[in-house]
Amino acid sequence: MDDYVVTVLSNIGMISFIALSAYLLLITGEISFGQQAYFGLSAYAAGAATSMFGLPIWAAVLIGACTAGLMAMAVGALTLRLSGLYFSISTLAFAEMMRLILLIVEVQVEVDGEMVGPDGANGFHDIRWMFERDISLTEFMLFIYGLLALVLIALLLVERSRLGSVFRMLGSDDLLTEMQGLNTVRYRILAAGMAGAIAGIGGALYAHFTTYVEPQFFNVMLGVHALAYGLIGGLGTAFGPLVGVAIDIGFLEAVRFIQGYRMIVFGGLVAVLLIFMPRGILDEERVHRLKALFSRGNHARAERH
Amino acid sequence: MLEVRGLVVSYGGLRAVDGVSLEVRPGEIVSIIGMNGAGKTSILNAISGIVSPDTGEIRFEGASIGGLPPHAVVARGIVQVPEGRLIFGTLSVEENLSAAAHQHGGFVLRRRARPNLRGLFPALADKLDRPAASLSGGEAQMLALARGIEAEPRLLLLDEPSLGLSPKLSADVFALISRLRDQGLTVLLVEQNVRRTLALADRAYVLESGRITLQGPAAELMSDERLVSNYLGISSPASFVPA
Repeated sequence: MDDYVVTVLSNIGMISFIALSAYLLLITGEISFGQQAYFGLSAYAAGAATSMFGLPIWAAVLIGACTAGLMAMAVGALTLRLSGLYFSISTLAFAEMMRLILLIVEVQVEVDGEMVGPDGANGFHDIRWMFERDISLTEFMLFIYGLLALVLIALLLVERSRLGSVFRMLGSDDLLTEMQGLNTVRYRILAAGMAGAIAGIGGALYAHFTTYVEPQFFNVMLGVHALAYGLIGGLGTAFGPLVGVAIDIGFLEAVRFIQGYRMIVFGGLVAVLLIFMPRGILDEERVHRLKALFSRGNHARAERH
Repeated sequence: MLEVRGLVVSYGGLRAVDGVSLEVRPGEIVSIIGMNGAGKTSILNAISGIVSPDTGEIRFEGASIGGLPPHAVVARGIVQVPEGRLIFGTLSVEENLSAAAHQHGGFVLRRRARPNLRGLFPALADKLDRPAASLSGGEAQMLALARGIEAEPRLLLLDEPSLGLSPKLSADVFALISRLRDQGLTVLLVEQNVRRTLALADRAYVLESGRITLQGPAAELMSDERLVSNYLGISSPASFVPA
């Protein structure tokens, strides 16, 4: 595979994390415009872990995910009592605040005679873990997809568990969920923390893939795309947002004649889908029908044996 | 079991419930009857913690539960089946049922619907893996009831369970409530179908404009002249607006 293909595939993988993050909140009925904050926060935290403190990559990913997850829970505790639109606006405000704070954070330490660390508006350079260890782009891509597979399996298990039902109940009717004896605020904070941590894994990988991050990368457009992926791909299964990412980065990036018009095509696609498939391509109904089809297939096979 | 004393609930200065006291004893079916907008649902909502009362005391099994959030009230054993067939449409029938049973199951595992439930709700038994949104109105009401029972309440609050159902389904719902009492469940029932309700309930309270105007054993109320002229003499009005 040439470097271009590997880079596109890696981007699909890394952006998938933030798409899954926004998706998890969407199924609980929350629209967050701020998941890029956790992606960015973790990119900084994980970048610092390897470049400034010489920690291994797995520790960096863990630190990034935990930092993002805990921050998301703290923000959630403050904002999740707000309803609907007010919550959405507060997530946007928090993410912008985060970005502006990263613009002024200057914490540098000397590593091997060079100053390394976040340098305010100049960004965070020299997150050179991949070069120092001579990791190839392809190897790192496999690492990305390995982690993505783990997160996806975890999410699919959650969806099959009672916790998954609770998340969808929250998205369906908040008061009715409370009336089942469930502490809805606590479950929402849990969902926010999980979503923050998932975005954080993506951010940690991103910092090490690009070796350089700056606050501007984590602006609101990233968060809006993350939302759009779930809405395009579908809210019926965790595969939905991945379909959304694949359509945007995979298809639109790859088809050359769309170049330059990508945002127009993407925006049009979102608008058309929201009219004709308001809960995306793989919505709950289609997912249910696919499952029924699949299990019928299994029954038929079992009967033939 | 449940004692309500001097309950006042108001919405923006308008008093919906104006000093109501009532009592439910273990094993009883107690009914609150009254016209649309009399404040019946507000009483249930105050008991289950959905609205907070202005004043008044609500005690369940000796402990005050006034002001507790809804989930904490459910944890004490009071479960409300709200009016209007409220179910989780995107979830399957089974998921709807197991969601309510969460206190008796784990954080992760889903609990299968109890065999008892299949006997009580044969219409739901073979539709467990269907999306709840695909159910008919009557089935949806049965699911809402089944979900309430799956939570294994000690006191079940039922808000207009027969509302909008065909006479046949409506009769099924009343028969079901009767069977539940036989199994030892205590029920506080809010209804507009006065005749059927009085035939089923042990005791009843008649609510008018937020105040209790009549109370007593259901059999006595059935022959009370004031009740007969106000409620039973006229055909029961159709209602579409949730109180």
